[in-house]
Amino acid sequence: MITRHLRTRDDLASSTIDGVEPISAVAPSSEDELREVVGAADGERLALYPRGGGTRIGLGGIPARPGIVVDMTRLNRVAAHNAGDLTATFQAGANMRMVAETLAQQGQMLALDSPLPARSTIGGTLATGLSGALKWHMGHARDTVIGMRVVQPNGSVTKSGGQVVKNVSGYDMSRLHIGGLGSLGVILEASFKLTPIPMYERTILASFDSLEGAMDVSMSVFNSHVMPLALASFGDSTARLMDVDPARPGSHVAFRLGGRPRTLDRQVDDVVKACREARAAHIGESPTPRLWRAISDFGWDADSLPDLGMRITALPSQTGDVIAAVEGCAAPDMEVAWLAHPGFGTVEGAWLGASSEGASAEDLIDIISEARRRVLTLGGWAIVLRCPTEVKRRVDVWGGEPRGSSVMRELKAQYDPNDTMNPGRYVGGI
Amino acid sequence: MTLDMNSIIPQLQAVVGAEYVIHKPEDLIVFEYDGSVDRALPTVVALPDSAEQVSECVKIAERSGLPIVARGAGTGLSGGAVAEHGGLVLAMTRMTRILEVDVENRVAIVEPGVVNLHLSEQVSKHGLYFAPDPSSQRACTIGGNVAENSGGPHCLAYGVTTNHVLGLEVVYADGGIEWVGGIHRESPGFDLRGIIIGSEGTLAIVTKIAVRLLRQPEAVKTLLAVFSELDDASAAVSGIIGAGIVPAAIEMMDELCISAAEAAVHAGYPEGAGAVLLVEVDGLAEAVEEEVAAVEEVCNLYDPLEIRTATDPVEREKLWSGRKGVLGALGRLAPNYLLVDGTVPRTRLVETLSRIKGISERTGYPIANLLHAGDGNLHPSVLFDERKPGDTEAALKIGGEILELCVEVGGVLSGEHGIGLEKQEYMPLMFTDADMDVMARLRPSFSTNNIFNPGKIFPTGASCSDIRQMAAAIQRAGPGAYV
Ligand SMILES: Cc1cc2nc3c(=O)[nH]c(=O)nc-3n(C[C@H](O)[C@H](O)[C@H](O)COP(=O)(O)OP(=O)(O)OC[C@H]3O[C@@H](n4cnc5c(N)ncnc54)[C@H](O)[C@@H]3O)c2cc1C
Repeated sequence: MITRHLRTRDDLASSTIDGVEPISAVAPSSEDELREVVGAADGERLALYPRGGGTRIGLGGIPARPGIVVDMTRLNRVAAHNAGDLTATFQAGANMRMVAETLAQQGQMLALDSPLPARSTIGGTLATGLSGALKWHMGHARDTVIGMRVVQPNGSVTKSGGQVVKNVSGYDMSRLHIGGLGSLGVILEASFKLTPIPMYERTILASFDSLEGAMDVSMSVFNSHVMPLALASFGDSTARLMDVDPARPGSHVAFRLGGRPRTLDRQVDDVVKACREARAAHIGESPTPRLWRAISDFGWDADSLPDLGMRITALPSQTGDVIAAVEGCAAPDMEVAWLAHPGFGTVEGAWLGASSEGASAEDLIDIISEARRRVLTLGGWAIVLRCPTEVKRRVDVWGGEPRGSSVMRELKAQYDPNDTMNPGRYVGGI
Repeated sequence: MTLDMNSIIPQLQAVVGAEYVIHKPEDLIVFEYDGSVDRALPTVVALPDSAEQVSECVKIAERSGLPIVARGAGTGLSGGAVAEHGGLVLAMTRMTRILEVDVENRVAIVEPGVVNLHLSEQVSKHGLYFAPDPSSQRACTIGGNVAENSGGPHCLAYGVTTNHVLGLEVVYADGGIEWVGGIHRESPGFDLRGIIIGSEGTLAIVTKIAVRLLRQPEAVKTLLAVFSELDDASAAVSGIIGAGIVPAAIEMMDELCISAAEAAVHAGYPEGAGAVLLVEVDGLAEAVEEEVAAVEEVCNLYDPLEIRTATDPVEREKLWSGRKGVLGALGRLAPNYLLVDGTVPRTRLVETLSRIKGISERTGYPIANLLHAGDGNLHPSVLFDERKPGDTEAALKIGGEILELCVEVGGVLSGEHGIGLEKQEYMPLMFTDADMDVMARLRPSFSTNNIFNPGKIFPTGASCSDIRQMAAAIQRAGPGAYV
């Protein structure tokens, strides 16, 4: 039955989440094996922690109890790629780079730019639900999904949606699992609508002496006819951590533009003009894939792994205020870096301790509460993406009870009555 | 259930005002139907003016075990707004305020009774619009759009309602009022917003909606391609998508539709036209030119009889006139039609349409096909005459056969009209008992006590209801409505 138990101490240690070592780790190689594992664990009242590439396994609260880690990476098939329909279906363990390469052969892409694609998976990307820079244009991770198959805690497999792009048949259950952090079931397979890869692409990188300039140009492009594929802004610390070298120090804005030849020229012209009007200190071009890879990986790859990472969302027009709030929350001996998606109103803040021991838990807790206080006055909200376990013991990474939490608790009680799935890790202690 | 209406009516009157409670049988008749073929008389109708009033009405009904059915404009095509089991209909007719427009962040907050097109008209002075554009947009409400997760011709490029709604204020079955999602693009926790959208009024009553607005495109160009063969038009659709072009809209009609439209609106289609494709591209002026050229190139591979393009609004409207007029024109071909809604993968369009033709030939009932072809969303319309004995049953049976066909080729039961009462018995074609059980458990999760729109979406074992023509709904959808 369960063919592969990874029992060596090393294997288990690498599957540890927030210091909680798993009882065992399994890597099912088929749908049936996965169903068996899930159903058996639920029957035995054992907790289950699904795991993709492990790139963002630290997201969420401390596991409520030790359990079984279910490594999904052997369930990694391309179940279907219907290029003529611009749709595809992948098993949850499919690796994001493999997905991108498969689709690119037909000139298509999945508009989900998750960090560390060499390791991250479809399932993990959907379960965390944190869309990357492409969301500016394409919408959320959730907007790309057209159907899903899920292993329920009792081991049954259920589906919702389908493999067509327009469908209102029955409730759209996938909504519960995208961004649901595996707290209601295991995502087994997902179907997506795809996007044609633009014929040509260019990336404009502009630097501004002031943050205002960077925000002005971001909003002016956001509200113009130009629709960049992605638009991101970042400061000098971030540039250094990403190993990107803008020609001038300051606040930087990157525009990823794509289309047919004349369309692309026009977009470049408009963006350059907008940058000039906002008095850019420097306007240049950047190699597209490398810059956007770095932006996507920021805060997650080994070079920029912060002691504390937060994701803050407010209104697009408040992005500058959020950045100021992030920059204003620093402890001595700490470096702050920020990466913003102004068209979306999200800012990722990263705090790195200067010393090799990293920052003290006290300092980090102070930063979190100060950042939350400032963001709250703007009406936004902030989650902690990454922090030491010590800090998690003392602050709620999700920032308290969200609206709708009583319905959320009912959902958990309905779909995972034994509290099997990722217990303790989701919002409100779900 | 014994209901003391003598006590419920005054309670409702105290909440919304006496003139806004309708309970005399002769006054209730207008609330008997929606755009579907189903009919049922509500017990009482209340017209609340605020979320607080909705909440009070819900509490009154909940205490008495009275089912609650929310109602927008009643243009729904699957029986969603029909009070199948009687009960309280909450009509959103008074909640029509656009509460806030944040131009800079392109967000608006509206009440559910706001008519879809009114929002776009109101924000057009800022160069903005609300992208979901159901063909019924002159009449249907945004609350209805949310409940049905409606699409429209232009959702090919821009997505359906769920892609444009950021948050909802809702009233739960216990009367509690809460926002799910909000004005921000992200919020923590389960996506309750996404679950409520498309839930056909069965989980909560929507009382405010925060929507994302888009910037009006700089340029729009419409291309009309006429083919002698339906197969060629369908192949051109897959060809366009396969070539990596996603226009704003790709619409299609077959020969029967063409002849009806020609007779009604004189669209000027050439002799021998077997299929018409209507492609609209919008965006930057350069993008529009380049993409229309690419679309034209694809169309030319399939022997078109004629290709016309237009950028001028009046000229563009002329190209659309046949497509928009076709529904009204079907009445010229037969006294009644049954409009079916299903989606298939775009690469299976040719096969699906030819098999529908086979069904028509085998049964002897003409079927006119109009399609949101770019999405693979079909509306085959079975023509029949309800006065002929057995005709109605035959049409319904054909409708069922078409849905089975859609599912068989990898498609689904409904692309945009919803399940409601019309298609609940077909759900097992797509979903197992386990699938439906998981879906059904959303209701207890929202503690609905099964009072919101009971008896919808899931199979009840009851036979499909009697069919009547949809003329009433089309009228309510107003002049210029098309499907
Ligand atoms: C001519 C014509 C053309 C059409 N074209 C299209 C099209 O292109 N695309 C498309 O998707 N649909 C189309 N439709 C179907 C219909 O217009 C849509 O489903 C529309 O969204 C329904 O809106 P409504 O206000 O009429 O809702 P109603 O019919 O009044 O109600 C529909 C459902 O919504 C629920 N509801 C309404 N308001 C609320 C609320 N505030 N809270 C909770 N639930 C609520 C009702 O209970 C019901 O289940 C068309 C219909 C007609 C008649």
